[in-house]
Amino acid sequence: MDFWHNIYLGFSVLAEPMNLLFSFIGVVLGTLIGVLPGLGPAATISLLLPLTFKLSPVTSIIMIAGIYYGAKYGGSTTSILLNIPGEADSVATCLDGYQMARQGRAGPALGISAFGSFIAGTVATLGLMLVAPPLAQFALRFGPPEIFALMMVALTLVTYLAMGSQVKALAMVSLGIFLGTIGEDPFTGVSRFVYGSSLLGGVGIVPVIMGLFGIAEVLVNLETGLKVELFQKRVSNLLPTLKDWKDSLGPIIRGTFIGFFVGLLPGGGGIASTFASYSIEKRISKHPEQFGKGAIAGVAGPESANNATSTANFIPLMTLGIPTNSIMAIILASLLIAGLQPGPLLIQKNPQFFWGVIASMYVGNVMLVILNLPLIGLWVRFLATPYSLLFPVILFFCLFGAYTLDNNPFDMWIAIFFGFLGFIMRKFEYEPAPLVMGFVLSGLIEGSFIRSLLESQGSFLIFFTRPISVTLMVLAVFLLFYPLVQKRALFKGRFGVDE
Amino acid sequence: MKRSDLLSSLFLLGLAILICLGALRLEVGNPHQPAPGFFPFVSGLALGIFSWLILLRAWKKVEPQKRFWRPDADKKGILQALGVLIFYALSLEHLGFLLTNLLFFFLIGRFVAHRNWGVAVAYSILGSTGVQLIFGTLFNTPLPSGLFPSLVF
Repeated sequence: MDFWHNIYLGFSVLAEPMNLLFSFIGVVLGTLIGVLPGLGPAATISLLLPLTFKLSPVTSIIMIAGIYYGAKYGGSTTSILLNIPGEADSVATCLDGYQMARQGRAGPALGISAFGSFIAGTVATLGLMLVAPPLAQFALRFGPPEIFALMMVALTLVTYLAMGSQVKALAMVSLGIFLGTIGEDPFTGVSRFVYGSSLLGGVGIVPVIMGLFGIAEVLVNLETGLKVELFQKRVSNLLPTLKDWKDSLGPIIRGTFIGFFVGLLPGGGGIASTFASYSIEKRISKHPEQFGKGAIAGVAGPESANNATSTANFIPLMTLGIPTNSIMAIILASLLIAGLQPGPLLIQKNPQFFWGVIASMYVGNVMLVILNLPLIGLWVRFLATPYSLLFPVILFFCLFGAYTLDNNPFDMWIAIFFGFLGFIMRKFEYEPAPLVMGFVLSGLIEGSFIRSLLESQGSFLIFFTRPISVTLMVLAVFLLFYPLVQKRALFKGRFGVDE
Repeated sequence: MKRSDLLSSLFLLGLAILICLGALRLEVGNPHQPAPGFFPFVSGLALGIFSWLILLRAWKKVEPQKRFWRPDADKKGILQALGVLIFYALSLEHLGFLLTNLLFFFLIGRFVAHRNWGVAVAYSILGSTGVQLIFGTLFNTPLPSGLFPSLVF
């Protein structure tokens, strides 16, 4: 009964014209930025954060969620037609999608990618609806020590997402946590590291994100000189044949489940799920030799996994307050800006918000299929937009967006500083995502850490004497040292001796 | 020795020391009674430990040195882009929204995107008028008027 009531509630929230309009704007923008190489959802959502101040929380998150999963649809277009992943998660799609385009089968590749994404997105939304409420209910048992232990698991897992060194990612997490402490101490009200009054309110999350993801990305692209060449300018026959469907149905179903479960894990991103799906499809295929040469299963599986992951990513965020990747960290920031505290109480206290966003995902997926099949020609035309016309606009939105937060020029300086820092970080192979995660979670970590210590009268044992917290702490320690153990085992196996 | 890691870890180590010193000045307290500097001190300590680990690995690692810039990098373009951003932050409140945007889009178009003068001017006029319409008219955002208040519509 509750179930149907909640669905009704969600759709009645979505039926408000503003929510429907911004759901549409979100998926259109998402598809657009997914199609355009050099502009990702993290940068776009950062650019739009100032706009969300003017919208209601549910409207802004409906739009942001639309951008996030819309970009997954759009990313496949660029991968298939240009062999450039419009999104990092679309790398696996390039392998067979582009080969299909070279064989004149760009249409079915794009078609199966859109249908697979739709099926996966819809099934994953159903999963989100079923899994999130009981998980949030369970998490209501969490006190400060459990929350702190959970944050430790989240931060440790986040470092798995890092492409390079795990130690570097942990250093960035620590730096992010420190940045989050700048400003007023939440317990005593004492100002920390403010050096005058400009930082009294702390370092703003929006200018930091705009700098690290918006400005830095432009600087990196300016260095590499982004050039694109369209392989197939006209796309036809989008509807897959019966044989295409037969070859794709299994990969779509498997990709959906893989993507959904990977998306539940903190640190579980689309890249991991798409490659997991791709390698499984290749392994179980009767014709593995066709993979990499235009196998439709190599497009259907990863694209479905990708979309299921993007939806499942909302579960840890909305139920536990854990962002699983940098975009979720930005969404967490936007929820906080909107006055909502993601965590176990979010669904209970704001059912309209939660079920409204869920309903928007169903409708958004339908909009995306319509946008990505009949209107594919339009997106192909956007592929020809020169980056030299785009990046000045991105830079403008970063700076002026930061300024409009408080009409304070200091926020522009923060954005420029973090833009430059983000560029240098990328050059020195440090990733910005762990820094943002540490920054966003800093307040929650500090609050739960200090409260736990106060509760236990200064004893760190509190983290190791409560069943849930000790389980999580052991998991965090295991995850932290697992790569070391694995490396040692590999070394031993290869050379038969200790390192 | 990996030079880039060595340099970055030394920088982070220095930063960690500064954070810890700053936290000590704020008072750290103890686990029974954590003071305002307690948590920043913990984060500084963690940063210090991880930077030290990066430093140790950088010292041991034998790797071909990677150049900071790619061989075909548009270094001038990047520096000019940063220069234009700084110009924007400095002049927005003094010159006002419209004039700053006109100059911003022109400078970026001409010197960073390397468009010819005519295209850069056209881009500047179109870009600044477009954002003026979006923010000034559509969103009704309060815009800095600067020296020429009459230019804000």
